[in-house]
Amino acid sequence: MQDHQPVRRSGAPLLAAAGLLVGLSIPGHSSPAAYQPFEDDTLEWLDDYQQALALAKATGRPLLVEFRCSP
Amino acid sequence: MNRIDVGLFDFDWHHSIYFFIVSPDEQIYLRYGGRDAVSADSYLDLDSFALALRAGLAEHERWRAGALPPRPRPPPFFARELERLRVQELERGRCVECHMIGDYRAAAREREGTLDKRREMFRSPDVRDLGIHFDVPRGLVVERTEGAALAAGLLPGDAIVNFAGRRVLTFGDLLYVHDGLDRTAARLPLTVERPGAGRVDLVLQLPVQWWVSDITYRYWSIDPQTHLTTAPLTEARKRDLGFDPDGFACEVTRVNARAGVLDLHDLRAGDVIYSVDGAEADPTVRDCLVYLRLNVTAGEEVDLGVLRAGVRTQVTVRTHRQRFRKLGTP
Repeated sequence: MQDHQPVRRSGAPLLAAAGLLVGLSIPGHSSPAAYQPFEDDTLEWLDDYQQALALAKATGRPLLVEFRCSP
Repeated sequence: MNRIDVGLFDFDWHHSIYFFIVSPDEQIYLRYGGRDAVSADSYLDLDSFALALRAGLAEHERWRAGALPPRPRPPPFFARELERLRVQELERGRCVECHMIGDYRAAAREREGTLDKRREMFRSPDVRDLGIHFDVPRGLVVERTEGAALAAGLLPGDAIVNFAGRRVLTFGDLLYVHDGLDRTAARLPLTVERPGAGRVDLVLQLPVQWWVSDITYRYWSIDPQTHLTTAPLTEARKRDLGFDPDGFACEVTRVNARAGVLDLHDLRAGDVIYSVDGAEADPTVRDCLVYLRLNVTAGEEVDLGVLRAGVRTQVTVRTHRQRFRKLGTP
């Protein structure tokens, strides 16, 4: 068992980012009519959870929510 | 962060990156994340992330079809409810780092007398200590086994689909369930998909102190630091030295220079610690330093029974309470 050793870490502010999981090219996965996938198969990243949740409710898409240290 | 319900989005806050895939009505389909003491990304890679995304979309189809049983939502919890975090960080406009939520919450529980260090300080036990080694790019497919997992009959190529009674889709799911286990648990049921054999139920016998893993990388102010590295004595050596073979006697293998800088103690490599504040054994602990970390409040002194050069003596150790880029006390 090891006690704490000093650990250097660069500044690590919280970034709670929320995006809509849309437009992914998934073999064998059909896109129901309610989906409106982006033509370029990208994720649309938002940084306001409530805004992303409202968009998910409006479009019926799932959310991919990311918590990470910066950058 | 103020508007995020961290009661719903609960995870081990010392993970550097963590994902949830969630329905529009905020049911969590799955988690993606997990780390160990070796690296922040031991369990992260693009292949397993792609598997998780596919699984999340499949879960979403089930949700849309009404085939996903609704789960009760956990009680809401917001960072601002931690008074010291609110006053010292949020109201000063400071950024709230992920690990601070965990540390402020643990410190608050410590003050309330409700902190369970076995569960809340020794978080996310390393499943490799159970002998489970995953083929990370393949998600929950087992690469090799040893120890308790081998004894339970887990085989390379098995894909774990149920862990401790919970359906798991990713390593993040599995680690979260593992983290939530009662630390007194002695057995762990799991179900695997075995190539050519279908679903197979197994029971893994959990070893003593299964919940202890290297938490060196964590930011904890609740951890009473001694800046020692120790190793438990074998039962034979304990007997040779006249100690209880079921006791937690251990040998100091390394003293970090910070112990001297902080004037914590004068322990040295080769010392054998056989008691902590008079206690020499605990049925759930095999290492003296683990016992100390569980039973001493960070910053307080503790008396250790020490065998040095064949002579038993008492050593008083002042433990260190760490602070992390915060002006106040969490």
